[in-house]
Amino acid sequence: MGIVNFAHGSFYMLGAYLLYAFTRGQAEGFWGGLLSVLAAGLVIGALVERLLIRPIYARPEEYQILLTYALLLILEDAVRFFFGAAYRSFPMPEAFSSPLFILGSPFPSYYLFLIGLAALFALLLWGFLYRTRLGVWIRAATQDREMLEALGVNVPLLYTAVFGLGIALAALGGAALLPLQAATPGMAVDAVISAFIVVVIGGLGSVWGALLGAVLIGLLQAFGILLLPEWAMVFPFGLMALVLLLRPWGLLGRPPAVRT
Amino acid sequence: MALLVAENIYRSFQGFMALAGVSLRVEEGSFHALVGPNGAGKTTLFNVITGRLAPDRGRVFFQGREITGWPTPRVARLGLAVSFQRAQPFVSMTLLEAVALARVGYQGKTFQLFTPLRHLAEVLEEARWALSKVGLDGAAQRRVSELPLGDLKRLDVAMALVARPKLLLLDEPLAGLSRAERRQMVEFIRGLLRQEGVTLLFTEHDTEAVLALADRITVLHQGQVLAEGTPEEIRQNAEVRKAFLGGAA
Amino acid sequence: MRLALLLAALALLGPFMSEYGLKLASEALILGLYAMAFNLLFRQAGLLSFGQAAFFGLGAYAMALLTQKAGWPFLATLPASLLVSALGALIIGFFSIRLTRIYFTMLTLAFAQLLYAIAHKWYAFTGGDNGITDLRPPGLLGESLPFYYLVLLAFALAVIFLAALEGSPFGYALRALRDNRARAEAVGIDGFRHLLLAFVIAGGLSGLAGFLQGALQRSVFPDYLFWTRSAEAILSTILGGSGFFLGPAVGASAFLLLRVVVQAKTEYWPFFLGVLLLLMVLFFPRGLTGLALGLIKWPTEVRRGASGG
Repeated sequence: MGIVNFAHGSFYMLGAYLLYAFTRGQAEGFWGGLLSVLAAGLVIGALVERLLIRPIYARPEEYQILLTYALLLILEDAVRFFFGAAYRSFPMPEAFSSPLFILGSPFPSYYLFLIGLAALFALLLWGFLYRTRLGVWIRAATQDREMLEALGVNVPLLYTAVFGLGIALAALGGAALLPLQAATPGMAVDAVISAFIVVVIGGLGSVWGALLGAVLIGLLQAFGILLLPEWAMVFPFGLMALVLLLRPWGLLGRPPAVRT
Repeated sequence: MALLVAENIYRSFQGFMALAGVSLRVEEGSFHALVGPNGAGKTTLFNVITGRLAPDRGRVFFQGREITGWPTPRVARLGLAVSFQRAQPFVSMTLLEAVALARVGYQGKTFQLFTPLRHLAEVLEEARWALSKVGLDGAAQRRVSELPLGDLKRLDVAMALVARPKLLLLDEPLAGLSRAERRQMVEFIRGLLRQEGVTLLFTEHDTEAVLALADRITVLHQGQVLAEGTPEEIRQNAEVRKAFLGGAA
Repeated sequence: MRLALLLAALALLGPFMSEYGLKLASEALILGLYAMAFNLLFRQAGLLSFGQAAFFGLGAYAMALLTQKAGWPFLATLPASLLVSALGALIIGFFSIRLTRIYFTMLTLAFAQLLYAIAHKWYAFTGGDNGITDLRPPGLLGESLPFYYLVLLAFALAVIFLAALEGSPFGYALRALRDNRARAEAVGIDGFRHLLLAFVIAGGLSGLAGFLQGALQRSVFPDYLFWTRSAEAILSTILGGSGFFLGPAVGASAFLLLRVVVQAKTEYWPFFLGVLLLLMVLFFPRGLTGLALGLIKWPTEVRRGASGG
């Protein structure tokens, strides 16, 4: 869509905090909580787009970045205000309390749930973008917004809806991760950076690339912690630097048509 | 001596073959036209020559020196200046500043941090000269952003001219100009460039202009050279007529 | 010329300021310097860097580590600070400038956070969270007034340098790259090299600011490298107006004043900052300087209108 949302990580963080708030930290409300977070994300995202982002579409890209950067600051402190700076954790829901046995080794079943969820949403997203009319419209809008409007599509509404969807997914992601990773105000920036590293490695503009990048980073960090725990966080950066040197458009990205 | 030689250039974009074995020789001092319908590969060939694109296969030589795959700035500093079809020059500057900067750029001297541009007498002189050649010297102190579209084109040519280039590439110099402006531009090209001894390679759709200006014409069609020769030879070429029937000529 | 007057005025005011005033003024000048370094990239080169804290912090840590661990005299660490931060900028810039626009921005942020994490974890070398303290410059420079003059001198030199840069062929080349990169390259300007040099210059100046700040605060902590430190340069610039040469410096002063006032009342300064930035972006893109200039012109325009002009 060509929107640069610096605060994406903040909404991811918000999702985690909202789940905590909706369920009051109790495991029973987990599923309902997830759905509520999804809905809340849609509404919040739509509001943000309508009120804050729409006015600056015409302006240079940098202003979008600055605006969403402002959101990052606001949300981080807002969360600190409402929830305090302490870690907010969430107990593992009943359904996942016992591990599944794969090839003889215990495997935390929640991880499987998350993997499945991620795969499901990746598939849904791909299907949505590439197999539905709405998806075609969205892809068209990123390329030539005016033409799409001229063809009678209500592009502003489309943008609002898509933005809301994006935020909802981010919030869901944050919420889904809550049983594993406590919520803290600092998680927003870390998330944005991680997401960015994933995208750079996987390929700018490629959905499968994002998935590939995420898997690679996950593996790298896991092994990193095993080998050199103190420096594990440097490994993703190292891989990113390598990719930037050898294949700047990412592993699954497409080389730009004209050398800049 | 051939100033520019493009040898067997191939370039494709995700399966679409834009150039399939195109060769071109531009002789020193000549006016060489590159014509063909839209999509024939003219702009792609320009981009390969100027370094904006690297060819998949083939080589480019300038003054006997191989420049295949050289980045654009490096090619420019050799004395190969380009003026684009859609001129979008430096809106934050005045005309004089823009042309002066171009001059410094071609000379490769843009890493000067302490000398003000306005103190570089030789550069300013050359800039004024280039502006006067395109008839814009009166507007030298005006901001580029204030310039009407037709004048932007002339500014762009001035920015190429100030390089005192050995080879000038003009991409559709007459595009977007009115009939009267076209005649002016043709006269300008003919007069000025002959005078300065500049070798010219240009693309154009306007057949009248092409026939009036060119010493040699290369016809591109679907990524390949359809014909090459003098205007007379091309005019009489049956295949060319067939390809251009009803075309944008 | 007006610049010289301003600097002279600032110099003359020195002896009349209180201890607190001198510290505040010094900090304002340091932040102004830092913001102007950021704006070199933003305004001239069209590069939005979210990671200037990396170089600010490198400059500060270079000074801190050399004085404390290697026993170097304070002023001798200045060239080292500049070198380290410029080198850091060379490396980070080398990777970041290959990417366009938003990706460049993100990458600068990422690298800065990486440096922060390293400083935070490398307890043995940097003291981690405890930072490096007790960094009072010896002798005369340990006093507020002489230190203020040092800061003023650094600010003046940097500003003069940046002003010269603006009118130089290099400055024009940067603006050309910003206006239309393809056209600039077609006239022989190598985009990557020019942008990288600009990035290195901005990095070095940011390092200078960090060097001074560390001495002013008498301590250096990992948060010198944290992304909120980058935000200070950005916010000061936007607040003051990025389109004006001294805009960032004006914004820095306003920023500091605001911070002093707001932090006295609440601990939620980042929230306030975010709201401020939001408002500036939405309603006052030309910043305070633009606002002030607009107000100054307003009476003359009204008069002109009234007389039917």
